[in-house]
Amino acid sequence: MPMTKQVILFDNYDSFTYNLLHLLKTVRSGYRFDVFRNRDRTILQQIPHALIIGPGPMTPAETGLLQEYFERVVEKKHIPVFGVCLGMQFLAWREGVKVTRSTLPAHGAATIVKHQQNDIFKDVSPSFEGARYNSLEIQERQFLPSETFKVLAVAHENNAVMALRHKHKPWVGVQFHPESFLTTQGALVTDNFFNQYVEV
Amino acid sequence: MLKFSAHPISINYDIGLQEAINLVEQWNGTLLYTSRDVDGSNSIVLAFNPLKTITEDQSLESVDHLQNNHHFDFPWIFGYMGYDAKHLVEENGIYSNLRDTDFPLYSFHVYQFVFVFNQQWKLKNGYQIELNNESTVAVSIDEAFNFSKTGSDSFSVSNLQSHPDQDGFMQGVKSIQKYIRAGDVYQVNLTRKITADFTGDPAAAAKSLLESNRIEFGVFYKSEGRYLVSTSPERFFKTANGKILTSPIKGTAGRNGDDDMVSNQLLNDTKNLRELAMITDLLRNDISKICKPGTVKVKEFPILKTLKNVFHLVADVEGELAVSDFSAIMEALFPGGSITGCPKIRACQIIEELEQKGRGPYTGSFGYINGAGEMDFNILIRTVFIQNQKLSFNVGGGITLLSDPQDEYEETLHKAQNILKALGQ
Repeated sequence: MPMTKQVILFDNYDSFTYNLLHLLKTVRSGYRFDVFRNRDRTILQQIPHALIIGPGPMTPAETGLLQEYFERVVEKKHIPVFGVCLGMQFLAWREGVKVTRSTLPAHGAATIVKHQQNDIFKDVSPSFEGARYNSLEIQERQFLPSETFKVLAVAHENNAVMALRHKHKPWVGVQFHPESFLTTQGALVTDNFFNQYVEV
Repeated sequence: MLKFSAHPISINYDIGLQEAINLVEQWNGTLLYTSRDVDGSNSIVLAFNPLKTITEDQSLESVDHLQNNHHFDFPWIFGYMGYDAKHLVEENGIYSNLRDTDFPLYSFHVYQFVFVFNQQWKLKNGYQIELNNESTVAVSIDEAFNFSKTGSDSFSVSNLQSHPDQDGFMQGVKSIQKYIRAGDVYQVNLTRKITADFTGDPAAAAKSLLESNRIEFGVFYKSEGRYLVSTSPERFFKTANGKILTSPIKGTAGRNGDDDMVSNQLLNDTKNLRELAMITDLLRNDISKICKPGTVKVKEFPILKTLKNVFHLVADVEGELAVSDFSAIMEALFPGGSITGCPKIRACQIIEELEQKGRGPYTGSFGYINGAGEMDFNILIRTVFIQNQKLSFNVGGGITLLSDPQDEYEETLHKAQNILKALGQ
């Protein structure tokens, strides 16, 4: 039995936050998960074992309190982070990567996610499908700082980044929605995050 | 503390749609169509003469107190939550207080008489509820059924106005698409409100509407001179045996004779399937707030639903409840995701900005709570409101990046014409 850990799920006033919460609770039933909404400043006193940045509307620059939390706690305490959709975009944007309007915006569409079966995709099927709900994306060709990020997966249709990890910080993000009912192996991807980033 | 008791009654009066409407008109009440319910089949519930009313001067939790004190096995609390009550179930400051003032934000009633019929108006059960306190307003059965009808049986609707108008609506569609491209939302349900002068008998208008279509979740409701008539085909949620079921609708196709072709097209339409997937994930999210982890399942996706004139795409999502109070369930789910857009909060903010008027009860939810505390609520679409010689209804649609502003406007015209046609206008 792994020891009980506290994990914060950061809610960007989204309509999928609780799907993600149930997925997390299913994958790590012994953990404590606390949801903090993006205006709840009591989060600044929290030092969790991991932070999950939930999806949400708007752009990474409009995430308000999340930026403050990163400055004051997450970066200083080296907290492992798993970002979903806006959450992944935020991790990249935080390191200066440009997030642009998608060449193929899609909402409620399953897409084939091309990956190398490593990192958070360990044991995940090569024909894995992930649900997309995004108008913004990170395009691989504009993805300059290879010294900072490693691309873990891209979209079959347009090579937009579908997953990335930071090379020096314990940050990993997915553009697809692991919590969607359209995503085939979201639980395995989430389990891999805990195995490889939190329980090490 | 209020105490209610109930006992079965039988009646010697023949009741059909006309008589039921007359009773609601005379005594204030609710006529409710239910689907696969009460005893597993489709029923019509007629309830009238309010003994107790909970409206916006009392909290939603007041409904919980009523809900949790009784063990009747029939529907006994009836009422609605209007869309404009959305700020009451969300964090302060997220929504404005924008509202339509014609109807209370919400109203729930316990009525003296409740009758359950099958869809051919054969009486299944009747109950009389007694309120054990001094200020009783009960009437005898004979009194209740013997009255002379005052309505004129005719009515007319004139001077139709649209808010926003065609230009405003089409601009609204374009604004939503800008918000979608910018990453604010995936989809928004935009509506426009049609208002008109109404003269004559509201009960006659209700009868025309209720006879116009096969109704699964229809309503005729009167309270203090206000009338609500709904021909809704959509269930918001139902709770039974510790479970909650929600059945969002997205996608409509008119039946034009070639049912196989039309239904196949609908089942393979990308825009509709994506919208339904989005709303399915949204409803999974909302019921997850009040369900046990790991129990929320998409039971069926997509389901083809066949009505008299149209096909719809529907999904069934189910979970095991961790709560049972009415107010806790509404706080988690309200307003229904199929009529807001996604993500819900940002979509509702955009709706406030673009529609600029409250929706009143429209796109809220009407339903009942039975004596076991179980609920069945619809989504108040295809709904007409009459009060103070004014008639109003909204028409709208789901706007995505794939929407064309002119087509969306015409779709609302078509929907408005259908309602006016059902009114015989």
